[in-house]
Amino acid sequence: MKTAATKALSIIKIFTSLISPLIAPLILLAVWQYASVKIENEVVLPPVAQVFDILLHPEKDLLSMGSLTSNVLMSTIRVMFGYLAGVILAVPLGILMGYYKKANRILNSLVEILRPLPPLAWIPLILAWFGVASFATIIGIEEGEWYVLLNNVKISMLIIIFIGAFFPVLLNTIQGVSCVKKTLIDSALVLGASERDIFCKILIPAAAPSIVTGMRLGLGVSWMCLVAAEMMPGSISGIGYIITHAYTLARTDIVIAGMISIGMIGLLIDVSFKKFENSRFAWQRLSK
Amino acid sequence: MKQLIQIKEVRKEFLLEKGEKVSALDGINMDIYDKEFICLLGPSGCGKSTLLRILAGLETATEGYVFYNGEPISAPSRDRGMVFQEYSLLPWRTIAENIALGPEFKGISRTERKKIALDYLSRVGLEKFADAKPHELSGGMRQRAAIARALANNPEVLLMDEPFGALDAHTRVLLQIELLKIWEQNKKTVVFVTHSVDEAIFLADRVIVMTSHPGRVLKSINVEFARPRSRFAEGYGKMMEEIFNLLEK
Repeated sequence: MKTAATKALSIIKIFTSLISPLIAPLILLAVWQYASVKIENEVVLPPVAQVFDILLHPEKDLLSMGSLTSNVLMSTIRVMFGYLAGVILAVPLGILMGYYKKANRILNSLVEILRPLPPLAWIPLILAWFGVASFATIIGIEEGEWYVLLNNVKISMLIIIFIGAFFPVLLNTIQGVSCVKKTLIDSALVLGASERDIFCKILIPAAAPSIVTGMRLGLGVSWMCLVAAEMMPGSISGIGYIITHAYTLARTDIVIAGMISIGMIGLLIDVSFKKFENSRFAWQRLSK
Repeated sequence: MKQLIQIKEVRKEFLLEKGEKVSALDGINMDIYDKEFICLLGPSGCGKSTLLRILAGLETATEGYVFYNGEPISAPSRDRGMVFQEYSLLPWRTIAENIALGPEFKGISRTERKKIALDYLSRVGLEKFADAKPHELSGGMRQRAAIARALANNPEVLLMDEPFGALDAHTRVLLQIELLKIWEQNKKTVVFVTHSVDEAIFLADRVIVMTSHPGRVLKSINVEFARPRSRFAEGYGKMMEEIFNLLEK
């Protein structure tokens, strides 16, 4: 009797935990649909079905800019390169700045000056320096299938994305390392730890939760910078390019479909990061 | 008896944020002999923990000399293990992995490390918790694991910084008895910092009473009650009274 009751209760619990996150988006969809019927102008606001038709057929060519899938893929490649460069530079620098007070004193002022600059403010300067140079320019390929792919990865885009990723990762890494309890370091030192042991076996694992949080935030900012990066001259593909190009042709349905794709990918990244954090860093939550 | 640690005219100054200098220790002279169980006893602010950290090599004296086996102490060494008051276990590692940390830094192989860890775990009665994480253990068990970790590195000296200070009274007494048992089996030199008069008399061969502002040595008292000790031994209460009177001055 009791088990049946608790079973029913747990089913209700699972049900509500699955349903409740959907309520707000569904309300938004309803408002959108209602408004679009009222407005009756698909340039201002297309109906829900028209946008979802694009999202549900992502392989279809859009305004001869290629399919949604291929453009999302191109954008993902760009984000990954810029983002990884940001992480690879920010994590070691953050660890050094978090551990060595001298390094922090020397570099902190520079970081604090550069950090508040919106990544978009860098665009003119970056274009002046790198123009439309791409991976293809660097490698020296000038034709063929690889040229098309590599030429789409512009250096200036990667730098904008890099800047977006760099600061959240750097600041969270510094924070994570400087908050490592001194006793942990001291106790490793008296056990005979070398400097390398301190970094690899104490500081990095202890700061890992904070570093991964920074990586999650950094990836979010990278995605935000993407649209801006893909609006720059020389861009002929990517989800940001689709949005701006569709805008000039008054195809609001494609604009919204592009926005939803970006949002979905962002959500996916966030959820997978949080899942990883919860499974790997349970000790942090529990040791408090 | 062999002289293991010599402390000569040690002074330690700290620089406060405002630029003021505060001397934590002044004119400290002390000899510690091999296999001796020493308690550094004093009120908070007497610099007893600072002195212990200097012995560990985690701090350097502003003036004076500290010798270990005739060599000046300049950096931490595996010869001098240390047990901290709390939170010194790595929270992301299992208890066995924590205890194997010293051997790991030494470069001992994984299988050998595991054997050492299990051996020391059983000495402190934690063999069942080898694969548990520190947060799954009670405060007393965590301190047992911290002691096992220090011992697993096979140091000559065990420096203990108020290791039972954060425990409840009952657990504290149990761990004192356990520590003495381990000490009698392994016979290390122990330097134990405490502010509990009772703990000092119960554990030590010699109690070094310190005063604060700045920290100085007031008196060194030999404790000669037979081991295993009882708190009801004749003269125990009298010695407590004597030390309390010293501290009140």
